[in-house]
Amino acid sequence: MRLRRRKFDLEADDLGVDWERWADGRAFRLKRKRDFADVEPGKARNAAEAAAARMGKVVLTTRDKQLPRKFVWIQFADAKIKAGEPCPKCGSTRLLRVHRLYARCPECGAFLLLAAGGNQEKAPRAERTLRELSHIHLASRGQEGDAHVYRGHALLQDSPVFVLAHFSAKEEEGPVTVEDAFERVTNVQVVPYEQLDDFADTSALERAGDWDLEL
Amino acid sequence: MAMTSTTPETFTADLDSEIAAKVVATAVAEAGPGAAELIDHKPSLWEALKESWRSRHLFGVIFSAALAAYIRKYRLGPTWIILQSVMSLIGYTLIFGGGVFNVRAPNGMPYFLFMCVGMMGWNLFNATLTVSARSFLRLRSVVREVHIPLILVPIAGSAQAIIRVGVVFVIYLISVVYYWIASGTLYFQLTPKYLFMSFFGLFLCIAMAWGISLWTAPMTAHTRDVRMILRFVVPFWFFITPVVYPIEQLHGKIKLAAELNPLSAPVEMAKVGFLGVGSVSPGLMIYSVVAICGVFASGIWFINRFGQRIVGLAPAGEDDDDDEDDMM
Repeated sequence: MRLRRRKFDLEADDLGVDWERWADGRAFRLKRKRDFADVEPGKARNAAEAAAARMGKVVLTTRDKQLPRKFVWIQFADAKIKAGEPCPKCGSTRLLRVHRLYARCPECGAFLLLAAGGNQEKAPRAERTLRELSHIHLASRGQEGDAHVYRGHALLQDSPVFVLAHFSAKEEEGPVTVEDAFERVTNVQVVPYEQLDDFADTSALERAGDWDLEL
Repeated sequence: MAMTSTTPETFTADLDSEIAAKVVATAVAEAGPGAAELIDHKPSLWEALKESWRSRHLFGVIFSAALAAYIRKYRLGPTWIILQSVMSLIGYTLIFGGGVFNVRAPNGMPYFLFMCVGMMGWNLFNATLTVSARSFLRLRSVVREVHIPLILVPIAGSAQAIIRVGVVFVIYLISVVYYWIASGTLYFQLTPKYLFMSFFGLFLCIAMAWGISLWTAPMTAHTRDVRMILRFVVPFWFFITPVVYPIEQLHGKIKLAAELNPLSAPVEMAKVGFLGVGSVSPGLMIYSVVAICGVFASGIWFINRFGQRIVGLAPAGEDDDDDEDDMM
């Protein structure tokens, strides 16, 4: 028997995927074209979040590091709570941490996403560091091994800093873009301008106008 | 020139910890008095197995991801798995069955077949131990983000080892057919009882490796020293396991050491089952089964008790699948 190809709705905010079958709290790895439409996994992640909001749940999505353009990992939870908050379903003040990002309520069985550190806490260190910066201007310095190397300047809490960033450069990922820069960053080094004042003309860096990546 | 002790690395590290501490402190302060208590969950053995069964759909996912991670690294891809298996069989046969040690297989059977069956058991153990030990490193980013029953990770992460032994098994079958045609003797016992014995022996080999991996895999995610320890221990283990020689040829303390080795009986069971040679007493079989069950159960206990904490503490970073000790 030939299986009929599943139809997806690219116009719908949830891409026409039946997300409910994956919303039981277990982790799933979804495959492009099979589980969701032939779109960038980033769109599928947005669609999962839209579906979770519609279902009154939350979802944590993460890219597959091996095949980032083919797979997406998802895990739905009943609610998202901050550290110290009781179970939003039954009010229990005793929760069991089953994972660094998840807890289970022993009273009502609710599966909860912990937001103690917010999105920044759960992200890898390099991503967190990059997200802390603003007005990021980076110029490509070419490729070194498995990494695209960029350098430039940014603001860290309104203070100018020199930035050296490495981004994953796997064959299937293509060039670094504004959309995937935070997901692909693997290493960020930040040096405040004041530490460079004595031996470098830091203002020259800001005057250079040919940036490859502005975040 | 102004000098400072702050390097870019320590600067960003300080920044991260400050941010994390600030966010957590703010959240707890917002919750006020009577804040909910978050207790580390330590599931019982039964709960852990039930949870793993509930997420059994991830077994195939982790299995294929582990295999793909290995294959995608090399231009020749799966060819390396075949080459590794073939070359190690030829190498061991030449060294042990050839001129160097001149070990004789029992009943005048070709040493290559004797070696093939022994290596199936040993490879299941050794290769599983090696690849499963880094299963959390390979899936670090996923395991840190989504809640996967930890037991599944080292077990399904042994894909490469299972495929490698599958290759050895195919080579063994081809050789059996060759010797059958060439000499008229079939070196393969096709009775259900013996086949069951062989496969049960092989299963015990991998179960032993899984049991140890349940200990080593989370620890390896935290520190690579565990892999170094394995590198020293495994070669000794190889020589007290009757892989390249028949156990009957051993004497004295070496024989005692081989018999106390829980892997000896499973390897011998595979030899008795497939080839009809070797010796394994019911007492040794029971001893092995009990010892392997004990190691496996202790592994589940350990990963349940400390796995989440160890993996959670492991530094975040890129998934890592270096296979520097693949050829161990």
